Amino acid sequence: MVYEFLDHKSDVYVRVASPSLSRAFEDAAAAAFEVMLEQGSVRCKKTIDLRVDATDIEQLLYMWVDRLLYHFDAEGFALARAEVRSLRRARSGGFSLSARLHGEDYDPGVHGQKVGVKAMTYSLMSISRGASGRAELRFVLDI
Amino acid sequence: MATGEGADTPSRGIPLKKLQDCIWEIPQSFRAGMNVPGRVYADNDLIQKMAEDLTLTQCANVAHLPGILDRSIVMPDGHQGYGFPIGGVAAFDMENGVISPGGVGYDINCLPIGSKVLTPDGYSVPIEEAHYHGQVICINSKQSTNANIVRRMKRNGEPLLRISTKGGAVIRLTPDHPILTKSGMVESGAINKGTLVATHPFSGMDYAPPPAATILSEHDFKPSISRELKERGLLPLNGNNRNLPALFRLMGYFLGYGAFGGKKTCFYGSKEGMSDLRRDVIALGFSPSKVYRRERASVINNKTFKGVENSVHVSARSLIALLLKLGIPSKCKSKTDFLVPGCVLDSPAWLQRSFLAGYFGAEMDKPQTINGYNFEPPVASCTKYNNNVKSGIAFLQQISKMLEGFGVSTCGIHEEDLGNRVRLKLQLSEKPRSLIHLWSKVGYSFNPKRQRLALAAVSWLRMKESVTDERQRIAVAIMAHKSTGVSFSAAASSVPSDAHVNFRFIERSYYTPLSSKPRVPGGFPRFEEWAKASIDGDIIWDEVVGVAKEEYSGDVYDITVDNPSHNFIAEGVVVSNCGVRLVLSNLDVKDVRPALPKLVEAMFNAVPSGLGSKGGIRLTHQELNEVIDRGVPWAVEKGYGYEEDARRCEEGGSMKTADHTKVSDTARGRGSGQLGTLGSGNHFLEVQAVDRIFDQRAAKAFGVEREGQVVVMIHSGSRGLGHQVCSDYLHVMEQAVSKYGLRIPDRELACAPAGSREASDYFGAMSAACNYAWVNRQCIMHWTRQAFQKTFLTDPERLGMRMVYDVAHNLAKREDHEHGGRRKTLYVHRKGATRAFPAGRPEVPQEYRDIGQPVIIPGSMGTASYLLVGGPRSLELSWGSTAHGAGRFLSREAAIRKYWGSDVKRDLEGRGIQLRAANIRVIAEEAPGAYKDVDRVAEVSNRLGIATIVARLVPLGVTKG
Repeated sequence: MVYEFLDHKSDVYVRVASPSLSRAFEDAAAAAFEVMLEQGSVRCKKTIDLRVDATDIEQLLYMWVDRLLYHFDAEGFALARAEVRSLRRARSGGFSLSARLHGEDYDPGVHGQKVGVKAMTYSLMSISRGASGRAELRFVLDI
Repeated sequence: MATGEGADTPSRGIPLKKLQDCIWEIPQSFRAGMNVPGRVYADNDLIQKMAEDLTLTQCANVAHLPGILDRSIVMPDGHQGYGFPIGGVAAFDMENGVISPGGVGYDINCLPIGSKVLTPDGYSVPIEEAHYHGQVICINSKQSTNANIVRRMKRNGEPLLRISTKGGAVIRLTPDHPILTKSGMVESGAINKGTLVATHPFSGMDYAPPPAATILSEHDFKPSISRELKERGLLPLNGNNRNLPALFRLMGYFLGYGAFGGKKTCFYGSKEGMSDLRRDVIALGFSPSKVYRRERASVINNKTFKGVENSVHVSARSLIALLLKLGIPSKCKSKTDFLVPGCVLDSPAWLQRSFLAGYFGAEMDKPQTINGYNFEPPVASCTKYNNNVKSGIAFLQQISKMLEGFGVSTCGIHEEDLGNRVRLKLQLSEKPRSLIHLWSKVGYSFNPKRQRLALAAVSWLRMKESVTDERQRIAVAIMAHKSTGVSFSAAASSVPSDAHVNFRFIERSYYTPLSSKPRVPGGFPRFEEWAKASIDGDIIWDEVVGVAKEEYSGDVYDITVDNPSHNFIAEGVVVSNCGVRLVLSNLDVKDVRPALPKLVEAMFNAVPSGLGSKGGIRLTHQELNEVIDRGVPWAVEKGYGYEEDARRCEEGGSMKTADHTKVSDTARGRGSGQLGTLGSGNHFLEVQAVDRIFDQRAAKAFGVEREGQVVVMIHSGSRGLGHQVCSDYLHVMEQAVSKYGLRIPDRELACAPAGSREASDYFGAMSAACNYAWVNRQCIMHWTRQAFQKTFLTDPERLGMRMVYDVAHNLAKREDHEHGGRRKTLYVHRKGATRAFPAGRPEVPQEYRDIGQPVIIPGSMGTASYLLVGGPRSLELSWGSTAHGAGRFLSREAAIRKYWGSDVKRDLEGRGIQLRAANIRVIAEEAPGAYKDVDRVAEVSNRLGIATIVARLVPLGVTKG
């Protein structure tokens, strides 16, 4: 399991451990959608390309998940898989991420109706990287 | 955990002190950086549960926020949240700032090197040195007060704005530095020509270090006196003693309106002036009397005047001894020879100013004009018996000599014969330059009325000077044109259209040039009228005439003061603007029970709920803007409910501060399809029965008539729109934190100074989200009424489906509260806390005002809920707030591990509770056992008297997302 849900009083506390930082961001997206939808129920029928810029890596994670929630909430886009195409430090000192989202239009009958994620948070957020490039993310989703 | 009375209770390393039953304190000393203590309202059991998660840590974190007032509060249902704990309440002051000569800003943020800052002793220092002087003058609610400098920061190389006013004030500052304007604090970048800004045109003299020479030592006094003075830091009295400015002011004033009487030193003057004087006496370490007032008749020129005399006296032998040694006469001043004390003459100009301002506060007349345009020459006078006239003249000559050092000229001493006495009048020059120096550098101490007029006169004179200078420049330019053969019409058209000249003036300048300096044009305001309109407390409203950008590569400084209000509005508070409303019916449990499955099904179908649900209302862009700008009145207009519904919402269901332009397109995108949906998680729509009435009078006022009566409770929020507003502004506030150099203990507590653009944008957006939430609950109520109609085949009005109240429990508000003995407008943040105003508050709807505001505390699924009424103690204990719900006890994961959704449902149905949910998993997560006991929460609120219990309500049918 690349991600797991840790114990938290009122919300969802996610831990992701992946071979690279890019993969960790992809897995974080998958975790957020597992809270809401039945796992494996979404097919890849359409794509959305997006780019996120942030001042630091924590903000990048926040804004990344926040954007996914926006596409679900406002456009009814259910995520099957996120593909991070680049994640790098920008020349200005901040961070920048480009990704392609694969998924389809949300249908409660097909994808299920688990719990809505209201918002991403900075609560208990930590991002650490090991020597081999392995990355571990922890964050809380407000539900 | 020890929980005995007064016991210090450690919990996760956080010290807790029990102050009273249900009142706990986290001492301010717990962590450096806490500005106030933490305060928790809970019984022994609830506090133990709070200690198990981060609630108390977050309470302490909130106490770090700059400008928080009195305490960081946690309600009995408190649990861990983001930044703020859920159940957190905090209040922040709104208006404060520091004066830099010319401009009043929020703090002294980011002024370039060399900018002058005014200190309480009437001298200015460059901002980069201000911290050596400890205190600066602040403006708080338009009154000047002293504040300690607690921190200084430096930034580098930013472009500056140069703002100039009609009254001649020029300030250079960074574009993010807010300035006090008629419409509140505004960033200087947003200031335009014509904006009225607050100024305080007193600059004082530049600071110079005084000589350290000893003026008086302990050998000059008897041992007992010497000891008393030493204790107060008044001995040895060197030239650089920090008490000298106050002492000199008192000496100067005493020579005018002071007298010794037995062991007392007495001062006379205006009531306000005597209060100022008391502060100086206290600063010297003596105890002044209160301000006494008596009516008194006096005879001047054979006419009797009745007047009021205010006085303050100080009973201290050591003060008298000190003043006498410094050269103050012991007997009647008109019968004694005395001069200006030598220690004053030996001091640098800024210290001499203290003495002069004191003397002028008593003995110099007020700034006044002859005809509205030209000032009378100010006069400082003293009366002497014929034998002592010589010393009187010498004294006034010394004053005159000192004034030269301030650029103030005098026109001799006039003698007025009063028989055996002579009135000596030192007349000062009425030339504008001299007057400006007099009133901007010396002024009047202990005479605030005259001091304010002096400030206004400085602005007015500068304004007059700039207008006459402009007219002169134009006249000279026109004459020059004429001499080079330019035609009249060409010369006339070279004059800018906004210049203070008319055609006649141009004509005269061309054909019959004036020999003297031009006068002010017609229509120029008369001083007395202008002063009346422009003086506001200790500030003068002045109009901006120019804003210019300026490249600057040097350092800018920011000093932070300890004045209790740096006006912060914290962002992390507001998450979803959730709230609850309660709707009545005239049905009884026995009427509803048989139809319950049908009713719950009808409600479930009528109100979209669960993940991804879309509302029954499709909104255009324009309509969504109307929803968030106007709130419930919009919904009522569209037919969703009755007019009285709006009145029975907190704020009338409409925050007037809402501004849709502050809501991002992203947030709007999330909000446009969700209006009228319940959402998922802990939000619910519930049919309930009145289980027990505790307060008959309040229950009757709220329309709760009997036990067994059926009611409906709606708990929902602003959905995706509110969350997106929060996410958007979290990043705006993060930038503000670094921009304003704030220190916060948790990223989720990102905030911006009240009055900054960031804070006001956020407030506009948050208000918009609140309006969305109210409209959301209004739509849900409307469809619930229809579900009742469909089930019972009776229209909602005949079913008595009147709304009791709708109260939000997740927002920040501007509210008036008592603080420090004064009524103040504060920002009150309630994060998972309910407003609970007592009877009498104007915010409570008319029909409940004698009783108090209805407070609704929803329980969790399957447990009781409570109707309460705001109690009088809420204002003193919790800024008019109480708890908002039960508060989680088990995590969702733990609840799922512990409960099966189907078991929970069966268990509830066994108790006669009908349940309908979009997802069975939610039922396990929201199992009643996962929440704290709502009965305990309501009971704590009741015991504290912040909101008292009116009725207990139990569920009959629940629909959940």
